[in-house]
Amino acid sequence: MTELKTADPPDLEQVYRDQRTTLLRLAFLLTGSREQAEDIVQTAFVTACARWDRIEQPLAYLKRAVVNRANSTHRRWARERGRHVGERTTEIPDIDETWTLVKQLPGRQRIVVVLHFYEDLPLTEIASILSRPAATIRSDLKRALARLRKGMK
Amino acid sequence: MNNRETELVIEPELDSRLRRTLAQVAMTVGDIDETQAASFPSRPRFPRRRRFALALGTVLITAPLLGFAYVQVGAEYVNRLPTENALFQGRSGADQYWLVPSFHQDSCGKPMPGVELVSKRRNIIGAEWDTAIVAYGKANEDDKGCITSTPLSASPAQADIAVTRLGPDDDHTTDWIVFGAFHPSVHSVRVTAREAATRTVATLPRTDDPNGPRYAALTMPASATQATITLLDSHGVAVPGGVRHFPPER
Repeated sequence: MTELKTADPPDLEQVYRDQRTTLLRLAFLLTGSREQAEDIVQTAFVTACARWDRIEQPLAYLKRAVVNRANSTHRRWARERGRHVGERTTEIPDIDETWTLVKQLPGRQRIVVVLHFYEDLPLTEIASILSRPAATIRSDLKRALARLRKGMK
Repeated sequence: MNNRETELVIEPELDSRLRRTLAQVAMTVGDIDETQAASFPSRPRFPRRRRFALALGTVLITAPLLGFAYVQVGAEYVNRLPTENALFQGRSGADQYWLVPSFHQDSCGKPMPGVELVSKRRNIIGAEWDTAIVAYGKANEDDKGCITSTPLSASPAQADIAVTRLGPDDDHTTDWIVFGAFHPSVHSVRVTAREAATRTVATLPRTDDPNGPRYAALTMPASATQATITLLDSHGVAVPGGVRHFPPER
């Protein structure tokens, strides 16, 4: 089975129209910022454009690009933690409380949590996406869950 | 060989809460600025990221003058490598590594059981910790996620073993490291691989728990594609059922 493989701009634009929101949601969960999410998704599409005819699974490719860019952003902005302006979320108390705790996780831990609980990926696949050992991803998730449990007391 | 024997067990309430939260929060995105989705961007907008990068670059130049006061010191960020109580240490190319008593904490602020692999190249001062923990036994946790006990398994064949590469994430030329946590009766482990000579390394307990689980670490060449790890008792005899293959056999 082949997915969108042609270099025709309409196909790329169609994917952009169809998947932009999906990718924005993922990027927002990964970064906690709508502005960063928009930058990341836009850059992912622009970068994909140059090699579009070689991409066999556009959504998987774009998701991976979004995750890696979010990961890179976390590393670069590691010292910017705590400066994020509060974002409008759900206004459901326990959801907002949990989301606040998730946003306070160190960048890589948050990425692992989002990929595991939102994208429903097994740890081995997360390890593959992030090019890290599965043991490290497992440790990241353990630490993240320990912090979340502590915050939910 | 990038495998671990088990995935994490997560209590259903926490699992459900996280899934529900992330799904609900994600749904808040979608009603924003839909006009932008009408056409594919032919060129990127001015990336805000670069403005931050420039600012951060300036900060980094001045960081040495500020010393540790600048670095975000905390449990999740590297401020120093806790190598003084290392059970094992070694070098691999430009990298150094240590197997040290776990120094990360559980939900109650108590040190996690087991040991952590700390690689110098993966743990730069000021960056997030990038370590991996192995621990023997099944940790019992209370309803708050605090570890109450870690009873030893009756079976010396059980073990918690990890195999990973040292060095940067994307460098597939660096050596492998095998490390694990074992039953107190396992006094050494033998590692065989087609690409390397068979090696046997003694296990050691943590100094604060001399009769407790024992640990071991050793490297294998970057070219290795598989390994077999055999647990040995105090007489050097293989423990029944104590053989592990990496990657795991299906």
